[in-house]
Amino acid sequence: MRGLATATGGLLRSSSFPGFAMMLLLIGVNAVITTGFLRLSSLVSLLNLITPLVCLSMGLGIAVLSGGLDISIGAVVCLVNVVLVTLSGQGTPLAYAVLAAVGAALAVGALNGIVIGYLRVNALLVTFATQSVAGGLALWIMPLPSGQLSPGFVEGYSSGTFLALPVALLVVLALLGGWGVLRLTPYGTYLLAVGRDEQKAYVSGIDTRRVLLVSYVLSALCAGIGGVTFSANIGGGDPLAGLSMTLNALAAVVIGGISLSGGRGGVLGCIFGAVFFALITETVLGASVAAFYQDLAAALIILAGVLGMNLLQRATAIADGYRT
Amino acid sequence: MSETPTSKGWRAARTVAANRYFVPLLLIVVFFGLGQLLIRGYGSLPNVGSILAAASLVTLATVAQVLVVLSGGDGIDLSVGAVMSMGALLGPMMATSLGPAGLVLGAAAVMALGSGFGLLSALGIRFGNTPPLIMTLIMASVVDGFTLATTQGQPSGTIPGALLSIGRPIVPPLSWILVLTLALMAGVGLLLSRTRIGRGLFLVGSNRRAARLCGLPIGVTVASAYMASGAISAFAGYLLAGYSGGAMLKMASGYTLLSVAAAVIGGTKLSGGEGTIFGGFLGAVILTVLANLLLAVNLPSGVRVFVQGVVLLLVLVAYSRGTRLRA
Repeated sequence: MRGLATATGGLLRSSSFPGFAMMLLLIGVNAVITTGFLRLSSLVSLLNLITPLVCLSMGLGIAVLSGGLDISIGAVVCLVNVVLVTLSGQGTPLAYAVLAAVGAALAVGALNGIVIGYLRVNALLVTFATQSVAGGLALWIMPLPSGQLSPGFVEGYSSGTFLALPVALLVVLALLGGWGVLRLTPYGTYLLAVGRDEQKAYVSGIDTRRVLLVSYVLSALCAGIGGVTFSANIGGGDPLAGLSMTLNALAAVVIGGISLSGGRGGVLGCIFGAVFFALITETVLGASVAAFYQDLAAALIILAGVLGMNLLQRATAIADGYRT
Repeated sequence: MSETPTSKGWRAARTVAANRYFVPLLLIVVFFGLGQLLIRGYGSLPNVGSILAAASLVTLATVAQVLVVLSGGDGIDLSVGAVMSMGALLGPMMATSLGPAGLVLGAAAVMALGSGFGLLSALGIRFGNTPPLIMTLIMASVVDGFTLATTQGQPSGTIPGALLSIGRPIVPPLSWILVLTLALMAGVGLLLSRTRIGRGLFLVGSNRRAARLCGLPIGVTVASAYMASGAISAFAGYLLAGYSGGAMLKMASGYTLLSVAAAVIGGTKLSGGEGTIFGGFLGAVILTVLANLLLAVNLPSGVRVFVQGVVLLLVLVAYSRGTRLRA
């Protein structure tokens, strides 16, 4: 019994708990108001739809944990999409096209990491600039939406399974597993140390520059994988479609319980945050809000969610005597 | 610091170079010189006037941003663009419906709305335990949603004639939009340097604890900054509608991060308490000249965005490096 109590206490105190609770709340609401929401086929299609955002918010979560921010991820999705579609349109084997696209994402991440980590420029501003760099490249390569991905790739993502699990779920589980392994390596500890106090981490002998570089490369890697799943969702090339995902991912990260001041929280929460965020649209549609009020309603739900979460977190922190 | 100045001229040169406006001014001169080299008549007064008119809008957004960043506590206003879009859509609508004095009343009405949203952000930050970045980001979608709901997706097309002519030159390079912007800058500058709350903003921004010990009203000061930011953004949107001759949903969303970049290039520290309105103006002019130059040499839009990003990155690296970790 005591073990259970401790486990429950640990769960309640976990930084990702508020996000988890809010996600469950919206799942509950949708199960009631949206007919057929809990049917397996609609759950799988919802999962396919939200996986890109889940990937992006996990990567952004790592950048935020390191004490920074990465607003270039939406543009990275655009770049990945455009490279993938253009190359596969030219007859490049799909595997190489995917590798090249993810490679482009990694290059943007390395640029971010070098400028932020080694040249010490503010992360918000750097990634704002690289957003133009990556987004501009995407527009350069493909000025207007065009091209199509092979039906095999699109089908394989949307309805393929491996060991009875949908591909999208495997992608998320793989990223989550990667994060779990990373947390056990020295880098995982360094990441949180740098995020909490870069100066202290530096004088403790941590190579803070390399930790930051790795963080932004990982963020871009997740955005790259998100971009591949995003491309499978839209089935073609669009140099601008991914841009709006940046701010959605940021909201998901915050709802997931990662502190913007860095060093606190975990990537698991980002998944809850992203699912919560994606479910808001479903909820607003399910509650049949009049068309012109949908955006306002969605924004107010996010506002209530974030305020509620922050107050909840403060309450648990106070109840806990600020034990963190 | 160890080398000794060799001559009077050298010392004067160093004083000029150490001025905080030196690098921004140098960048403006370089960009203009480049334009003059590449395009005939780039430096002519009418063209300078049209660039300054466009820069006025970025300047207003930047002034709004600077006020919030100055207030400290990781202050940043990511709702600037959304409030501007709201001003552009709702301002002219109200101006036409408010009769003869509508031109002024419409501006006042959207500015009141904008400051109301600013107040909401400040309250959420103070009492909702939410970082400014997130609070104002969410406020941006609330404002966008509000604008969509009030216009029902159909913005009225009529914009008062007087508002439509603000971008045209009076005497090149002056235009009404530039005059209004300079007047507003002067007004905000005076508020910052002459009033208690304005001067208090710098201390509140750089050291909250010291400000509290001095008995400064921190909550009121910070809330005023967010409210002023909302009002100025809404005003900027109102002018934007006249300048561009029409209004669309989310038309000004690009101004948000542009205003942050302009503020930083103009010497405002994102950590709060340090920055100037004039610096923000220079930052806004730099970004506008850069964008204008790339547009004038007729590059495809992708290349333009790409080069803009690369130049911004270079400016940031050259000019706003953080402090070294090794003490």
